[in-house]
Amino acid sequence: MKTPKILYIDLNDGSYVVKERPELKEYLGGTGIATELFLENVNLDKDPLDPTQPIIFVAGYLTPYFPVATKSVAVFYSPLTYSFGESHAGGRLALALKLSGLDGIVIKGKNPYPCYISINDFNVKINNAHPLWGLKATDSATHIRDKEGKAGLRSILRIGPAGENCTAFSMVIVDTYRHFGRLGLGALMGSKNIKAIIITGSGREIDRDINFEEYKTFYEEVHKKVISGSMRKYHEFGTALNIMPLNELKALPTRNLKENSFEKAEDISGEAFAEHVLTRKFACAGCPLGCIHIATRRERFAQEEEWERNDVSYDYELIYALGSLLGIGSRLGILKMIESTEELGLDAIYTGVFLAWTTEALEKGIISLNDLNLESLNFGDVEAYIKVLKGLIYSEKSFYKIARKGLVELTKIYGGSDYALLMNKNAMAGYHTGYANLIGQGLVGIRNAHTDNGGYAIDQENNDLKPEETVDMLLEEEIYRSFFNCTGICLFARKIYDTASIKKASSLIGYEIEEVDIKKLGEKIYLKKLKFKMKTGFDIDKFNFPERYFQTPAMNKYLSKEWVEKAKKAYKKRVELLFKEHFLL
Amino acid sequence: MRKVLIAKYMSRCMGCMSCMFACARRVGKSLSVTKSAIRIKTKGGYSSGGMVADHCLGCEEPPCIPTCPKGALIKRKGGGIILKIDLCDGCKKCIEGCPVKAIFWNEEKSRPIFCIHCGNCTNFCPHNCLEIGEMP
Repeated sequence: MKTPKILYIDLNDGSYVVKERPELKEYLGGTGIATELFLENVNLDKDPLDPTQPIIFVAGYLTPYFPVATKSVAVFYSPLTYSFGESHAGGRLALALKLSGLDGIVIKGKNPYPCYISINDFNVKINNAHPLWGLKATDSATHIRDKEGKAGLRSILRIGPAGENCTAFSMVIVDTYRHFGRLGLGALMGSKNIKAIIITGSGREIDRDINFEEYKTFYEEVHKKVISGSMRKYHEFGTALNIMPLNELKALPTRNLKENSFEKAEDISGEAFAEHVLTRKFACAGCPLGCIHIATRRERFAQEEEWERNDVSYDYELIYALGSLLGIGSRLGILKMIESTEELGLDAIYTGVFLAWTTEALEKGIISLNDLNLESLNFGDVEAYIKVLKGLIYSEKSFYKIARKGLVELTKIYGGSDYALLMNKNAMAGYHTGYANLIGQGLVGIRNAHTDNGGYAIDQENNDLKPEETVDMLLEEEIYRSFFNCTGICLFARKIYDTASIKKASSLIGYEIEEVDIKKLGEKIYLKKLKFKMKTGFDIDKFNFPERYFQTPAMNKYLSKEWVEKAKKAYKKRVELLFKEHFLL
Repeated sequence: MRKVLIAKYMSRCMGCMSCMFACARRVGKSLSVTKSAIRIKTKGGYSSGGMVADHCLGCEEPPCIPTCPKGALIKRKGGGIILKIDLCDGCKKCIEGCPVKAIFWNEEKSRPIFCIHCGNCTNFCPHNCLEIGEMP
């Protein structure tokens, strides 16, 4: 097993060092190592945006050795939830990290002026980025691209104006079409004066002494399965294919979840996007599937035949958050919304939830048009929403200044927490499917994201589960994913890479993983994160969901608070037992 | 007639690098895409509209051959180059001499990497962008 190599950068004085960390071997890579590095470096006495706080990036340990092992994990102290922040991204980042000879990076301190960081093999250069500060997230990489690195073998991370002004739900763009979207990593980079990071390398640390024939056979079998098997759906229409089924199930959050289906769902379905605006697909480096769907926004900008175009990536979550949730039923409208969030560097899901709350808060009269500096704002109004986003980033009006801290702060001042679609403090993903989704995101999930444990799928595949059964299923999945996310394999490929395949792949490159270790390791990683979450204020007993989730039926069923209370008790009992088993209390 | 690698349908390319991984794995006997004899990159960022491939075009009159002071490069029958590795001293002049940036560098061995037009990469492209075909 390879000894992890971690690059530590201190921006206070521009120093850096690469350390071999043999004691991290047991955590493999990805989320396992990232969590350990985070817990070693986080400063609980200081604000999440204090210069002492770390930003951690770690590539999966199977990257770049196998198809679809394309993921890197970022871990940080979230300025949005004031708790454990974790986000995953594809693109070329994991490959570039490994080409540079690194398994992970820890960045601390604050640069005295805006900078971009170049990492090449074990060398680090801090470059002046004054001219880039203030540029759209989408434009800033253009300048760096022309100056730095090896075309095709580099990864560029960058933030937009939202990250620069430390908006709590700002994101980091990775290689144009992938993102560290959730929980505010953009603000962490902004707080350290980092506009961008570019990584490349010679790849000289990648080769290993292995059984090459066996490796080749395994690799090529997986390659075949990826392009011809059950994953094809992600290539053809992508996750956007879920719009119609979720709409029919009455689980598609619409107009701030006042409704659970959208009359214009057909117009914004994956099928409609594919037929009318899809113009190409991209893939992460090392993934022959290619699930990144690119639409071309083509629009007249002046009389006569004056047209502009731009390419925008879309997905189910974006169509939900910046479409149905806002009552926007046109593909062009959704593409414009996506483009705005990309340019400013905002998490699309949280942005949708924020805008939906703002619209309803205005309807209910707890905020005014004057607060928003607008003449009108209604569900479906794309141009007004784009103005709100600009206000969010640039306005000095008090509503917007508070909004930059997130919905929890807004509802403290203005009220309306009953219909702020939060799961704990993160924004709801696009599934109002039932209890498993609700407690999966809100209670069991460390990041309060739908991908933590896939509760939305449990709801769709099972009927009338008891609270205890639901908690058990969610925990089992969450714990498995806590291990799985060490590998770097994309979650879309989780059925192709079953436990036996992961063991085989691991052993081919010198990692011996036994099944019993997988469960124990997953539990340990999960509990360490949970312990941090509890230290930062997460209390199972006091935790509650906004009323809205109980007011609007989920797949034709009203959810009950009594059921949720039973689930909370069951969850508490289960994790207390797990903590004891692992001596982690 | 030359029979060489042609990147015929690059407007369909997704940038997955399966061709590069295949070349490194099957020809370069390496786990690293840096050992590939084809390089996939964006035209100038993903949003610029697509991908391009740097690879040996199997020139009629290869400009790299005369740049080699050791005579290590010979014209391959059917297109492309054969590298006489024993004669090569790793001076990199061939890399400078290739106008289409199609000669790559093996850092560990300090030797250039040439496409051998074997077609292994074409078998792994999910969108069939690459093919071995005849150049007039």
